[in-house]
Amino acid sequence: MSLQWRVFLRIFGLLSLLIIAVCLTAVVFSLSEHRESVKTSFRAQSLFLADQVERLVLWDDRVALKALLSRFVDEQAVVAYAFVERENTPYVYTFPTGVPRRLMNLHPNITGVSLKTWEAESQVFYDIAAPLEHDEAVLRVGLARQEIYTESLSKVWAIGALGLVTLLIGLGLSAITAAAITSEVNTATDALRLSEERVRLLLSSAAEGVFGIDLAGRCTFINPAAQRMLGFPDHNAAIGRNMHEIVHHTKADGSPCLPEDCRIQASARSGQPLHADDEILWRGETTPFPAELWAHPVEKNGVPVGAVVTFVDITERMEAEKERNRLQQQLSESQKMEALGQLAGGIAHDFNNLLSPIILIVEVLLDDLDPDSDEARHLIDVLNAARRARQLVHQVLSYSRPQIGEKKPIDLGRIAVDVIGLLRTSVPAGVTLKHAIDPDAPMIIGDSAEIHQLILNLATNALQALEETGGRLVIALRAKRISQPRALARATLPAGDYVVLEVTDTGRGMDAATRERIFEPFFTTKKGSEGAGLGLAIVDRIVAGHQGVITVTSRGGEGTNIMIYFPRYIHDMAEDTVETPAPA
Amino acid sequence: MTRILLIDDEDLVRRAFRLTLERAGFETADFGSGRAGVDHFSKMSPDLVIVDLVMPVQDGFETIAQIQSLRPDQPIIAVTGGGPMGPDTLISRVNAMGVSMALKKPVDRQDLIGAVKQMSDRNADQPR
Repeated sequence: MSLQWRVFLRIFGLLSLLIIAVCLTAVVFSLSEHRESVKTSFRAQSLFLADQVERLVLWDDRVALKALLSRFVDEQAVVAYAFVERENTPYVYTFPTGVPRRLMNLHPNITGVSLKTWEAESQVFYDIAAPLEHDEAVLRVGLARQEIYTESLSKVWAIGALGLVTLLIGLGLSAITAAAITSEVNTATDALRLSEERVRLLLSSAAEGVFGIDLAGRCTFINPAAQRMLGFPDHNAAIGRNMHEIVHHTKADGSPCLPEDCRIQASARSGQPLHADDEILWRGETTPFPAELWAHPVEKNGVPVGAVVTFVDITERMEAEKERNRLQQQLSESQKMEALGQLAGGIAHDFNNLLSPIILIVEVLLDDLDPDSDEARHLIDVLNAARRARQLVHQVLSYSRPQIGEKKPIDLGRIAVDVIGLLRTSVPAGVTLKHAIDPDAPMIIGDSAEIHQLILNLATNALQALEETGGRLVIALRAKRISQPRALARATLPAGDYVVLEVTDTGRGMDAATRERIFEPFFTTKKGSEGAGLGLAIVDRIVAGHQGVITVTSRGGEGTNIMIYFPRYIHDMAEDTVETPAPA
Repeated sequence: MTRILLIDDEDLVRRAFRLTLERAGFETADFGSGRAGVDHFSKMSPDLVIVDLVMPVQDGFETIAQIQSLRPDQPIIAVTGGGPMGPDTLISRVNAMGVSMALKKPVDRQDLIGAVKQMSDRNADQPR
């Protein structure tokens, strides 16, 4: 049954009851009022009648008595009677019908005037009895009327008709009111439904996870994003469960997060909103992820009842931040290098000029001296110092020198073989030099002189690392395909085809602190004149200039492995000139 | 005797070069600026010019260009201590001007004398 029908029936029912009650009251009131007026009138008439009748009876004027009674009948009543009881013999005059039987049973011993009323069988009787003076007889006079109810019926009908009309009007009003109320209710319901729909849509489409908890931490609702991020198969799997135990049980450091330490629940209880970006939430109770979350306490009538928790998975953001920091560090490092390089380049020019007279003049002076003299030996020290200084300046210049050579497709393997050939003469005793050069390794785009220097620097470092302990130096070259971008310590290696140069030694290795700094210019672990700390800085610069990526793996006492990924040259049919590496 | 014109803005360098060259038996005139050097060149026509590349006012490249305009096949040795860009850039630039012999400072006596001899021998082969 529709809402409109239900409202209509209820209103109309109440209205009908009210109208019926009013009508009934009106009927009852009207009837009783009519009866009372009839009674009053009868009483007066009966007394008058009794007075008249007594006279006529005394005079024994039966004709007049009859006429009197007849007049009453004509004027008022249906029945009028008068009789005298004398020695139990009634002397009766009635009109037009017989005296009611019960009157005949009246007790004869009447000492005073009595007036009685009966109401029965739709009739009203007034009976007056009085002893006749100077006689043993009792006079009785009465009136009876039958139609008082019938007379009232017209009023009842009128009331009934009025009631019916009112009911009909009530019916119409009820219908109109029911329609109006239904329309209002429908409008309100539609608005509510729309609003609910909107909230549901909002929650469903939100990328943020949203869930609600009560004061005990039980889930009261959860949106699809939160279900997905927290690993609930559906809505019902979360509702009513203690969210803290499922998604917030352990901290970032792996220690348990106790419910009493839970900031979300504390926020719900205290009514203080919470914003945190250092929380860990758990997916499927097993996989943690960093989250930024907001807890918004919910109150009802000023009393906390729970909280709405909104959160986002910030794994990607944190990784991006880490990557940004790394790039920033790399940038500032390269800027530092650039500045150092510029400075070094400027100073180198002056140094070279200053070293020129020292070397040349000492050489000339030595001509004049006995080679075995003390003076000659001292001057040779000066000359050696100047030559060492020249070597240092040369290294500084190599480092600061920008790319000038045009890059061409070059065969890294051939350059490596050349350098290995060069190194053979300077390999110390106890050191084995091996190589594993894949002759089919693809070419790269590069500057052969720079690559030559790069391999030489790496190999020189490795040989120095092997000096004390002896061991093995391996120079390897091979092609390698990287299918997924790979985050390395110093850069991210994009997916692609590479030629990998690998220099491995079994020497003294490096600790982490040293490994951090090996590419800094002028950083060296070598004593005195062994190195200026530019070898690997130059390597780093050359690698960067070739769009390569370098990785260093080393542990103190366990040797060092350096891998350089050069992007392989993709052969273009248009350019067929391949540079042959210059002989070393 | 081979006559050498030496142009370098650094006194110390110039004196050392001159000492070394004269001890080796070369007649040497030296000047501290490119302009003075070119003036001398136009008057004296030396057999060999040794010129520094990085100099104030008139650098070695300008000086070489002026000398070459006076005598296109003049044997020249360029020397350089480099600069912010490094010596290789300078040397490749001067090579492009037709100066094939370039030395990086600081030079050994052996390298200097060797280069001078090589250039003066080449000059001797060519009739002036």
